[in-house]
Parts: sequence; structure tokens; C-alpha cells
Amino acid sequence: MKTRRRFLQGLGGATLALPALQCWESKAQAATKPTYAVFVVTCNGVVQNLGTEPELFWPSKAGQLTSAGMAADQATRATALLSRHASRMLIVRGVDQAFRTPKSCAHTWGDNQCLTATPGTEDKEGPASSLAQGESVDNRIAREKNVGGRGPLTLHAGFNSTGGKGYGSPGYVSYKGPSQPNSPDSSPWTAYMRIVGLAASDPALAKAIATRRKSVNDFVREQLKRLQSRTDLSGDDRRRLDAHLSSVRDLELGMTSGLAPEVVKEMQDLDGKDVNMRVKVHLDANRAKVVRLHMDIIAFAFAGDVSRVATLKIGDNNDGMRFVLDGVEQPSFHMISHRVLSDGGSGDPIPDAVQKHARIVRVLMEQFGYLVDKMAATSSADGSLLDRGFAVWTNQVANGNHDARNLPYVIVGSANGRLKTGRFVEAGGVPHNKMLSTLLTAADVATDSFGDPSLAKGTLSDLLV
Amino acid sequence: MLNQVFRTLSVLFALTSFDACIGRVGGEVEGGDNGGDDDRVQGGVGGRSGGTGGKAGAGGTHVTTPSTIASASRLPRLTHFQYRNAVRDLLRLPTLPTAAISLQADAVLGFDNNNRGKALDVSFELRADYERFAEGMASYVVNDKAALSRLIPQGAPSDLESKARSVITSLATRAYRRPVSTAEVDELWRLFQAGGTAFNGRDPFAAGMEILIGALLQSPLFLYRPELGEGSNEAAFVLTQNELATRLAFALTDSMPDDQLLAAAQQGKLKSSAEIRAEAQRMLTTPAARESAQHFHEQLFRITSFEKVSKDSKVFPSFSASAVPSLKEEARLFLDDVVATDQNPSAILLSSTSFVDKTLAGLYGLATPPAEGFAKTELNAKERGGLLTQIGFLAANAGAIDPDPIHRGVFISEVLLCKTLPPPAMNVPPVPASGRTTNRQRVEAHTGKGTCGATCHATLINPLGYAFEGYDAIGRFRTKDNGVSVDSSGSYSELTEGEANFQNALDLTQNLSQSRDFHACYVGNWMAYLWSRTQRDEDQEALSAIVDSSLEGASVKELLLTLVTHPSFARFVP
Repeated sequence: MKTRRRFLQGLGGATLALPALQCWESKAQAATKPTYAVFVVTCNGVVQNLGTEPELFWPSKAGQLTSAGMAADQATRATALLSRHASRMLIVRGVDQAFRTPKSCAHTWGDNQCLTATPGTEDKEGPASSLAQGESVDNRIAREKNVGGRGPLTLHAGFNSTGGKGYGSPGYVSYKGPSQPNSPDSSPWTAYMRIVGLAASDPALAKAIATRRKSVNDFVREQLKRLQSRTDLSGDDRRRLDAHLSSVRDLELGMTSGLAPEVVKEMQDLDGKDVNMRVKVHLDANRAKVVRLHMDIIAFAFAGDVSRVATLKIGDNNDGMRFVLDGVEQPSFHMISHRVLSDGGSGDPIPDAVQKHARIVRVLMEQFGYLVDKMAATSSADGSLLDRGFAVWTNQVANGNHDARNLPYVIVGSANGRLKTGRFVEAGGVPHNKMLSTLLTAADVATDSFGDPSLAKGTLSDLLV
Repeated sequence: MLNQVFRTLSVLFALTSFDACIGRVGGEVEGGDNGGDDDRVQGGVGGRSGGTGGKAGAGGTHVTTPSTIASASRLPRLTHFQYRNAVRDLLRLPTLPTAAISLQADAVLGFDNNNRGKALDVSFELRADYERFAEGMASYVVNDKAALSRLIPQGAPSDLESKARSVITSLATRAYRRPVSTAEVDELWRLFQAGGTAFNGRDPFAAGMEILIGALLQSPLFLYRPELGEGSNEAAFVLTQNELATRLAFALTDSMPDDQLLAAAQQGKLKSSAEIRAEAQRMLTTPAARESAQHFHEQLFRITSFEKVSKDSKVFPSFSASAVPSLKEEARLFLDDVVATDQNPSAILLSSTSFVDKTLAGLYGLATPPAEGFAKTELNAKERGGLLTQIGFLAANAGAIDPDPIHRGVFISEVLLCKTLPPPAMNVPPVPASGRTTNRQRVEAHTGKGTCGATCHATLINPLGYAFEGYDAIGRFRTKDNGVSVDSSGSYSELTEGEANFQNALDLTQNLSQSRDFHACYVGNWMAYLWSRTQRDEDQEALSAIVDSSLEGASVKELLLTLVTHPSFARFVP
């Protein structure tokens, strides 16, 4: 630990204060009321009646949602676990994947289009090497609304197989553009430290550091421009240099408070590897904690206007977490979702797999409830984050059979009054690009044509005020 | 005055407890990938196993180019592994400090130097990480007298400007991996002075060094490997001597050129293939080259997936997660040894010489475990031979209770033979309980001949996996499964040499080790990694010749030397 202390002292000491980084240009933008959006994407589908299986997800009655009405469903419908937010909820059934015939592993295919409404590339290098062919909604919102060029806050919980070949797809859902996934942070500590970045409790020192950074940035920009001036670079090199140049920002150090010290400590303790040299945030035993801490970070980032959009992916290409139900460690969630002891269509049946799957979806829904509660509790003069934004819970596929119909959409929050909440809506089989256009519009990025250009335009106007 | 402020007031840089990736493979790019839960299996009910169009003929495998790598970039960005190594070497540190922050993971598929997904960009987040990393390292070095003095050339003058210019010239030459112009030195001298101006009151040399180091570690000329040739605009060209040295160093050691290589480049002594070979040969004896090969193997063989191993504690009370580091270390030491002792790639599939600690000795059932650490050990050659019969692979490709022939088979097909399987079927209805006795019978009942999985599983996947039924879910050798004799025989007809019939795993690996498919796959992966670009049609002739020599018994090292001395290695081809 000697090294670390020296590393710290090199910058002058140890008092903890946690300012957020703000761009100088941000001050000009205070005019419009920001809208905050978060997308939680889960894996392996939900248990719903798309043929033979029982209905254990959607509310039992369409139309208006009331706390009492939802509470009556609580034993059997996963969505009912959020009954306390009934008046702010918008549950939408009948939205289907825009691209229904997979050209890759169905989970990857679902991830690819989930937030992009584009088909994935065909797998040329293994069955899950497919990548989405367009920008995702969170990136679009960040590009248009985030202050200072920051990308969407992109988080991931669960095993992360970055670097994999074949089936090792990490399950990217957030994309800058065709074949350009946004790399998610798996460790809450990394994500948090990137937000708080540099802390200086003294304005003079903060100014000295900012001045030094400005000089270094000028130097880096100058070198980048010299490279850009070459005429013999490929288009991709050009794009790369442009992106690098626009990422070089002169930041000032704004002051804000941080998360509670015990929360920060939890994050720090979860970073790195355990005694068995396994990445701690990948472990099943730490999953619930990682999800909760990521949600804390999302609310924190919104509260400080560090980002106006976030994505949390739970699980990688599929979710192989072994959940513990009633004190018993279950087979992998992915196997349960397929009802058999294998990662595909073959294997011995898992007893009570349908019920187990439904129980896991309830666990995931309760975790989502934590985020929603947190957003409800985070207020400013303009209202809570649920007044000023919304959270979406969805899944890469509709059920354990990779069905493309009835993707789950549980939306909570009124988005500065743009969403008509308090309802369970039957959309009647519309492709999900229209849902994404609707959600963009709710996030103050009005559009009716998000996603692949081959798709029919439109929004689900009934959801919008 | 500010000096006092500096002492009394405080700054906190983002520090992480990222202790694990100093000087070791791993780090923020989590090497391999999952070998665990996924959709490898498919029953093929009217499904996709038949393949469509050019994909995978009637249920056949699709042979892939091992890895597609940034093909036309003149500015490949360093991977995080390379960046950390290069920072360590540029600053002449034995290792990076443990508190050096982790960088935002790249969204790569395949090898970490693979840019197919355009992953190797500098995003807003990564740029911010570089900044904090660079500032942290600069501060670390400036506050360590010994470290700082290592960066000052011997006989440097003592007045501030001359001393600064001397350090700048030496450091920038190494950071940019080429001679620097007077204008570039002037530019850095101005920056050096700006450090003292920003921190008025600090020692101007220390303040200057801090900003200088921080800037060089963020310089595009350090972060990227510019391959621009001699200022020609021709589409294809021969790299400059310095660019070639850089390409060679990052290929073989995943780091910047060392002093000797840089000197050779500056003297124009990397022209003939004999000259390049001599330098490469020297580099291959360095620890950095060994780590680089380990980094390659860890990714190729998905060693990181061992971290996911999780077994039923009632069935396997002797196995716990504490075995995971041993499993990974065995594979690492084994593969390292194959390279270090000049063996042919076939040793990866055949050698029963491995590395065992107490934990593994227990799992292998060895009578005399080593007193401490790992010992080079001869495993029972009748039961074990090669990576595929080591506990790590076997346990990682098994369920909590039973072995998983399907994952084992898919791994061999994809990773060792580079034969990609068609995507899994959709909407496969669950199969009723079988009531069969052995693991093989159960799998067979669902996916074997006469079932809906016949096209894919019965021929392309299962036979490869059944060969390993002689090892249980924690990799122990067994002759009985559920009281019935294990059947690990089978035949596999996808090899270039024709049908391979085998009785057990050792039989199968013997067949694979002599197959052109295995050698082409392994060498092709190295080619992708070392050449850092997509294979092209015109490369096939070169590749084919190298595969021939691999089949004839060339050592891994010899293959690497052949790959980096091939004329194509030194050329930029868009």
C-alpha cells in the first residue's frame, strides 16, 4: 500500500471531496429543462402466454393502472411488483422485434436491435460475433442532449466476456454507430470514479491543474491536427482522429457532493479480483450488489447532470447467472429459460423451470424497483427524476424461446409530462422501432424515424401527451 | 505560497485497486471469453442447422479466417495491454504501480488488437482515463527520485533548459519510437515551461517533468502506431525502419522497441530478413515476449472462462472456487513451456508434461504433491496429454454435475480447428425426460442420430465432445459413468485428412495434432495476431508454406520468426 500512498501524495494529500467535471461550455445550455432516461436491458425473456406457457408477467387487465388493481395481481404477475408506482407506469404489450428472423445467436440478435432497431451483421467469425448496424437510442440522446460531449453512461452487470470469440459476445446493447459498441463499465467503482474524476478542495490548486491540462490538451490537439492533415489516411482513420479530437475537452472542476462514503467503499471493495483471482464484479454472488450500485450511480449522474441517459445491461450475451431461490442455488438462468439442463434446445428438463424463470424475473423486477424508488426520491425544484425523466425495463427477447413477439416494455416516469402514464396499453403487434422513436420523443429528441431506414416510420402516438 | 497550498490542500485522483494486471496478462481486457452458458447447442427442428446460402452447406462447418484485424489503418491504437507495457518501459519502471488506474475496456470481439468492431478508438471516457492515468504516472515518477533520475541521460548539462532539452530528446525519441525534429523538441520545451507556470512556486524541473511525462503518455504519437512510410502517398509501401521496429516490438513483446532495437532501426539495420530475424530471435528470449505469448494464448484458449467454473458442492466436495487460480496457472505455465522449450504446436495437444501444485495434485490424484508452488510434473501419459485433458479445460466445459460434451466439442471445432458452426436453432421445444443411464446416452437421445439435432450435433459437435467422456465435470479421469463403462469412441469426418476414428481423447488429440486443420488454425491465429491485419487471398501462399513447416515439426518460436521475417510483415497494405 506504500505505492498507493505515494501515488496519492504525489497530488498533494488525502482529503476527500468529490467534484463533478463540467465543461465550460455547459453554462450556455441551461435554458431547456433536461429530461433523463434510463434503459435497463435484461436477458432470456419473461414468462408470458405466447402459446403454451402461463401468463406470469403482464397485468391481468388492460387500461388504467391503479395501485390497488396491480396489488391484486402481485402473486402472479411480475409487473405488479411495482404497484406502488402505478400512476407513473406505462406498460406496453404487443411490441415486436423489428427484425424477427435471426442471422446470429438469438440472444445476440436481440441485443443488437434492442436499442438500435437495426439488424446485426451476419456472423462470419462465430455464432455470436454479430454487431448492430446503427446507433442506439441512448447514444442518440447523449449526442443531442448531454453536456460537454459525454457519451451515454453505459453500465453492465454480470459476467463479461469481452475479447471473446465465437459465442463469447459480451452482449453489447449501446452503439455509437454501425459495429461500434459503447464499451460498458462493469465495475461500479470505475464508473463512479470516471464521473467524479478529479477532486480538489482548493480552488487555486484546481486552477493550476486545469491550466496544466489545457496546455497538454493544446499539445495533443496540435498533434492530432497534424495527423489529420495527411491526405493518405483511410476513412476509418479519419473518423478515429475526428472522434479523438472531439473527445479532448478542457474541463473545469465543478464542486458537488459525492455518494455516501459507505456506498463508495462498497464500490471500491468490489473492484479488482478476489482471492481466487476472479474478477469480483463478474461473480454471481456479487450480482445483486453490482446492480444496486450501478443504479445508485445512475441516479447520482442524473442528479449532477453528468449524463442525461444511461443504459444498464444485466447479463452478457445471455444471462448464465445461477440465482439462489429459497436458499438453493439454481441451474444457470439461461438453462432455466430454455427449461432444460443445457444451453440449447436439448438436455434433461429442469423441474419447475417455468416457475423458476418467473421467480427470477420477479427478482429482476424488484431490482428495477430499487432504481425507480431511487429516481422517485431524487428531487430538485423541478420535481423528482420520475417527473423529469423515465426508466424503461426491457429484455433482449420476449420469452425463453427467443420469441420476437411481445417484448416486455415497462416504463416508469412521465418525462416532463410527455408520457401518458398510469396505463397498460395493448399496441397490437407493432415493430419496436416505433417504440424507440416514441421513447426518443419522450426524451425530448423528437423523431418518427429511428432505426434502420428500411423500417416503416411512426411512433406510438397514444403513449405521448 | 502555492507550494504551501499544494502541501496542505488536497487532490484526489481516481485510483482503483486494480492490482491484478501489472506485468501479467489479463488486465482490463478480460482475455478469452466465456466458455460457459450460451447457445451453442441446437436441436435443429426445421431450424437453421441446414444453413442457407453460402453459410454452412448442409449442416457443415464454416471455416473462418481466424481473426479479422484492422486492415487498412495507418494509425493502429495500442491495446490496453500494450499501452501499460509501453508506459512501464518508456518510464523504465520494473512494474507499473498497483494504483495505476484501469482504462475503459475496449469493445473488442476476438483478439484485443482486433479492430473489427472499430473498438480501438479513443472515446470521451477513454480519453479521460488516459488523462488520469498519465497524470497519475507523471506524479508517481516525479515523486520518486530514483525513477526520475533514470530518465535523465548521463552527462546531461545542469542548467534548466539544456537539461530539459536533453531529457525531452531522449524521452520523446522513445515515446514516438523515432528521431524527433528540433521543432518537436521546441514544442515540448514550451510545454515543459508551462508546467512551472501552472504550478508557480514548485521546482521548475519537477513541474516540467510532470507535465512532459503526462503529455507524452497522452500524445497521439504514443497512443497510436503511425505507419506512414517515407511520406509517400502510394497505396502500399514498405515501412520505415523505425516503423518496422515498432511493429516488430509490439507484435512480439506487446510493448515499445527496447533500446537495442531502436538503435538498430536508427542505423538502418533492419533491412534484410537475416537482420530482422536476429533481432526477433533476441527479443523472443525476453520476459516481455513470453508475457506476450501468454497473452495471446490466454485469449485464444479462453483461459479467463475458467473463472466461471462452478460445481455442485454435494457431488464434488473436493472442488471449490479456490482451485480457479491453479487451473489458470497450470494452463499458463504449460503453454509458456511449450514455447520456451522450442516445441511444435502439436505439443499443446499431446504433451503430458504439465505444472502442478498441491490443489491440482489432489485433483489429478498424484501421490506426491509438490511441497510448495508449482512443479513441472509428468502426468500419467495413459490418461493425460495436452491442454484438452487438463482440468481447467475439462472443468470449464462441463456443467455443475456432468461433463458437457457439447461445449467441449464446440470449443475444439471453433478454437482448435477454426471451424465455425452454424447458428443455433430457434424455438426448439424441450425434450421429455430420457431415463437414460450415462451422460453420453442422455446427450445422444436429444441430439444424436435420428433426432432433430442429427445434422449438426451428430457429426460436427458431439463426437469431438464424447471423446472426453473419460473425464468427469471436475476433470478427473473415469472409466465408469453412473456404474456403466464410459464410451469415448467415435469418428469425426471434417478433417482435411478424412475420417478420424478414435477410442478415446488421447486417440482423438493424436489425430488432431497431425491434422492440417489444427496447424492451419493455430498458425493462422498467430498470423492474425502478429500481422495485426486481415488475412488476404495473397497471404494464403505464405500461410500454407508456414503450415507445412508446422506440420513438419517446426517449433512455435520458429513459426513466429518465419511470420515476422516474411516480406509481407514489413509492408503496409491498405
